[in-house]
Amino acid sequence: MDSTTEQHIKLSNAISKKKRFHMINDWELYVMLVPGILFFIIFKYIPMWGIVIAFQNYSPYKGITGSEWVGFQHFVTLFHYNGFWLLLRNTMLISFYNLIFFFPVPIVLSLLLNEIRATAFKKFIQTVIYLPHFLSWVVVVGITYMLLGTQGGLINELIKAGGGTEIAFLTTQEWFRGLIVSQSIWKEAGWGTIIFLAALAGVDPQLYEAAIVDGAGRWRQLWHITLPAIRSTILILLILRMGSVLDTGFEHIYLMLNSTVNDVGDVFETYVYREGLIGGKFSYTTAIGLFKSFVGLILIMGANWLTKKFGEEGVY
Amino acid sequence: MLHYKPSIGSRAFDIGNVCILLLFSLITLIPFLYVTATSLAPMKQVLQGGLILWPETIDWGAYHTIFSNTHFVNSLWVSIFITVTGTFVNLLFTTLMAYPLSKKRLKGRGVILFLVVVTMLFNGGLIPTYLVVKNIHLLNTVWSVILPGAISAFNLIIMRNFFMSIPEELEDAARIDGCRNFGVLFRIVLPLSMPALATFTLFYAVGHWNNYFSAVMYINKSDLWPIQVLLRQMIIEGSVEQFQNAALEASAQVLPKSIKMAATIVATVPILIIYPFLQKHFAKGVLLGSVKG
Amino acid sequence: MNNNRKFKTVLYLSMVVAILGGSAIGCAKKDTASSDQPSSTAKADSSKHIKISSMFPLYGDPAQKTEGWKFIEDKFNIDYEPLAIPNNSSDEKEKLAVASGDMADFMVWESFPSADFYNYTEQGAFLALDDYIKNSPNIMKLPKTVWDNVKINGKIYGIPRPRPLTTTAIMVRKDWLDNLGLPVPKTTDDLFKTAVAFTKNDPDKNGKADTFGFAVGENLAFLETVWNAFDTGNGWRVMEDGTLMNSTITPGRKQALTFISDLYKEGAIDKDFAVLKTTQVWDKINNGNAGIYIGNISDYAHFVEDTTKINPNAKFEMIPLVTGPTGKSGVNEQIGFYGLQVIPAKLEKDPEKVKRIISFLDWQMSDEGAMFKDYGLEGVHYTKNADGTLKVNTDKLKAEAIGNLISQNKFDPYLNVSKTAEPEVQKKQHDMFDYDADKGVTNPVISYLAPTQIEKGADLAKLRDEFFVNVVMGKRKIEDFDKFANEWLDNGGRQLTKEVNDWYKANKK
Repeated sequence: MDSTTEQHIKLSNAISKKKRFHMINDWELYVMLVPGILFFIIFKYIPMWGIVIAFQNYSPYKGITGSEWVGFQHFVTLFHYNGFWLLLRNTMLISFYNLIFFFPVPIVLSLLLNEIRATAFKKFIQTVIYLPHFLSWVVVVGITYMLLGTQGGLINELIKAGGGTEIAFLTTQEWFRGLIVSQSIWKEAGWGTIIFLAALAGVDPQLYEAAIVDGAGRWRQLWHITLPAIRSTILILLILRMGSVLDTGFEHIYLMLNSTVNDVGDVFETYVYREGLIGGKFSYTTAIGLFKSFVGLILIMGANWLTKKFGEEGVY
Repeated sequence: MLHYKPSIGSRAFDIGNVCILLLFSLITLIPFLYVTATSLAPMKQVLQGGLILWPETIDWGAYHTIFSNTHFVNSLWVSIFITVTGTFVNLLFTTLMAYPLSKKRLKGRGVILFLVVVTMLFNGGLIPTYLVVKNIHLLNTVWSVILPGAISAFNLIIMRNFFMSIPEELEDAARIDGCRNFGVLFRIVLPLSMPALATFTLFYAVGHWNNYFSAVMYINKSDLWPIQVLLRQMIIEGSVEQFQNAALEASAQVLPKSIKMAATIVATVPILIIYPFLQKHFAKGVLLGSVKG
Repeated sequence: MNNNRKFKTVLYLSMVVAILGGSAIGCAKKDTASSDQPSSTAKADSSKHIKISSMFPLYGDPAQKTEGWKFIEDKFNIDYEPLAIPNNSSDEKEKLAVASGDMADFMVWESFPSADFYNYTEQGAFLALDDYIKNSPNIMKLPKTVWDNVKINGKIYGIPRPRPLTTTAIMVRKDWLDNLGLPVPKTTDDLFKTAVAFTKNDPDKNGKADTFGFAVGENLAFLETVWNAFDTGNGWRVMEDGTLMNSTITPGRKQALTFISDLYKEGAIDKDFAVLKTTQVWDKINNGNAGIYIGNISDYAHFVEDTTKINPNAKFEMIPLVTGPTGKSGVNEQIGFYGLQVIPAKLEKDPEKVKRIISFLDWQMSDEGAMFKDYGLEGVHYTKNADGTLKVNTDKLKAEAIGNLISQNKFDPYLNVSKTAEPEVQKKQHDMFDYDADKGVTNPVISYLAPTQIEKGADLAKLRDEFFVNVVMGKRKIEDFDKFANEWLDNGGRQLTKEVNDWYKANKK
């Protein structure tokens, strides 16, 4: 370290206590917040009145003021719906599988990429693995069919050539959730590495050099330098993930869903879509969304509290 | 850079690492190969179906259809404008808001962040948002597509997180030299946050470039259509209505599927071109040299 | 960066918004003051220049502002504003337009029957058009069935966009029939044998077992004439005692399902049918895997073209309907229109504008309008040859997308004949439309949306599809059909049947 900087730092530490006290009242910081806060008020909070329609029998033509209020009726309908527990179970299971199997993949990939020293190779891999993110789910599911269909699907052709009997991947319930998660990894894991790579780029290489001098092997470097660098990012993403525990993404599941796998694949989003097709169900579908949001909020609050209890930075 | 003699375990790890990454790349490359190949394959090959990975001969028909569309260039410009301006607006708003929120002692920080998180979960819906956009008179302008998305709560939170990892000492050093808060942000923090900025530039830009739905909902003038809207219009798919009105188009020298694939490629290639420029900011050691600042 | 200036702009914007924001709430009601002209007096002056906007779904490119556009503006003395919405999202946009009060002067509402549409109509969103259209020659040419299907509470709230009532045909690979020495199937038994032969006997003579009988889609799509051959009924079947039974649980349905699951056992139906969407089903025909398809006559043209691209010897033919064990056959009679043109109720205050809109729509439904939609303007986009045929400047026509200026079409039973196909293909389609005309199986309550249908319709459909698909695939037993029927009834079917029968008795014509 440079001595001028050392001096600066010592000086700033001495002054900083006093200065920081003044900085709390630093009006400039609040001014910086104004555009953002205005944005959230105008485009997020003002439209939020739309949520009240979950407590009405809303008709867009009559508007909020003209539609009758029904309190929690729609929520009651939802909980009494005989498919509710199925939807809840499927949604949570798929979400849970995603958490266990999908969530770590971008992290692992970014760590692996971090260990590559040949820059050209690293850039090449980085670019290739995020490509599927740009394809629509229609394309990805279409390719899945080409690979896994019983009539002419490539994998099944290979199985038959090897003397086996074909597997009905797409119409067998046991395969469904695994397929969903695998497709998600295929399509989105690469894109998910970007955030972690950005975090890793901020690590001072001198730390690694110092560690090597101290005799640390690669595992210890990973454990003591690399992982801590992305730990806060992982935690934040994990907490935010809790908020979408009842979200599964609509298009993906909808395209993979068919009448033979409804029992394992029908989720809230596909239910909402079906209900919304014939029309007239603004309030009911909003109520379902509200339910999902509440559950997500409780979980985020819980996860955030837990994180802070362990001394980490939470989301808020 | 220090050099050291790698152990056998270390070398084995490297080899395994390369293999895993290559394998994963191969798997993720296949869909893209398929799309590219199908966009270039001759009609007969496409009709035969199956997982096309290489065109038998190259047929530029699908691309020709897209590029020769009278609205193509216009839509391209609209999209470029929206993406560039939009991303700039995004970065400005997001960094301005993320920076104060990264200061631990800012009063009300927790409340503000909580309210931001709430917006990630609770949404008024299309109709109320549309009414707000309408009442600010943004309808039918490109701003209707840019402003309502000015800040992504998710990006805001992550960016704040990145700002928090910048050592306070560096900022203090700048303050001693006479910088006000805005100066610290723009002259110290942002340059040190290049990986984060590169990341969010990418995220926001891709979001703008791929935008379809809000453009359709908020813009009625077809000369303000971004590229995604135009591309989807060129795809004729599976409905009688399509064939009926598109009777003049349907002399089918180009298959709908080929156009669909070519449209995907056309929409994706610009992003691929931008990425290498952003990639250099993911290089390690960005902080190096700042300490000497 | 000038922070100060930016700050001020933002402050200004926020003040503007705070004021307007308040008015954003509850602003779902229609706006009353949007008409250009002052309220008109009794004697409307038809030479007044007014502004008219029209919203409709767009297929293909938006129209350019060239001669065709000017022609319309001159002819009707209007400033014309066509608002063409990309068709993929047009449904959403239509709902948004009505909900936000941003309706154009007239717009297409596509989804029908629809609970939203019925609600809006009952709440007074749309103008009742009966009086306005009674003197419009082309509009009134629509058949009675279509008007009956579109009326709500006895009134007309929108002008339907006519479509043929019966549009289905059975299509087979004639070259495969010839290769195997098989006759054209006439009964469901014949069809069964044909399908199995297509699967097992290598009809394309390429030595590979890569063919099968029926191309079928998810939820057993593309089997319409089979259902009708077994007399399942179209939606609802008039039973022997005069009451209506839902076609899901009629005895004919059980027989049809048995037939189809037998086909599946033989491999004569695409093993993957349960996951296939429309375009994927079509792929199976185009690449020569499937030999039988039951679908839209209009699709015949592109099948002919695409199958021959791979195999010049492929001969795709439409054949007459097959009869079932009780001698029945038929195609579903449809509602007769796709979407309707509605006018917002607020235009009641502007009868002149409404009159102009109606005459505009009437023209669109005339022969002249039809020519304009397909070929543009004479002398500009096409010229007439001595023998009556047309010389069309397709490049100019395509570039200007004249057809997309208007959204209403003439009543034409042959509307879906492909205008760009070979003449012989067109003739076959033409003949098939004629053939189908009297083969329609009516859904006696096609325009009625029962309350239980709105509430439980999606669930009942899911229950039905699950049972049907799983029975065909052998995952459930056909013997369970009665158990399934009871489940269907218990889950809202009984209530639905009652409501439908009540309506039917009250409205039977």
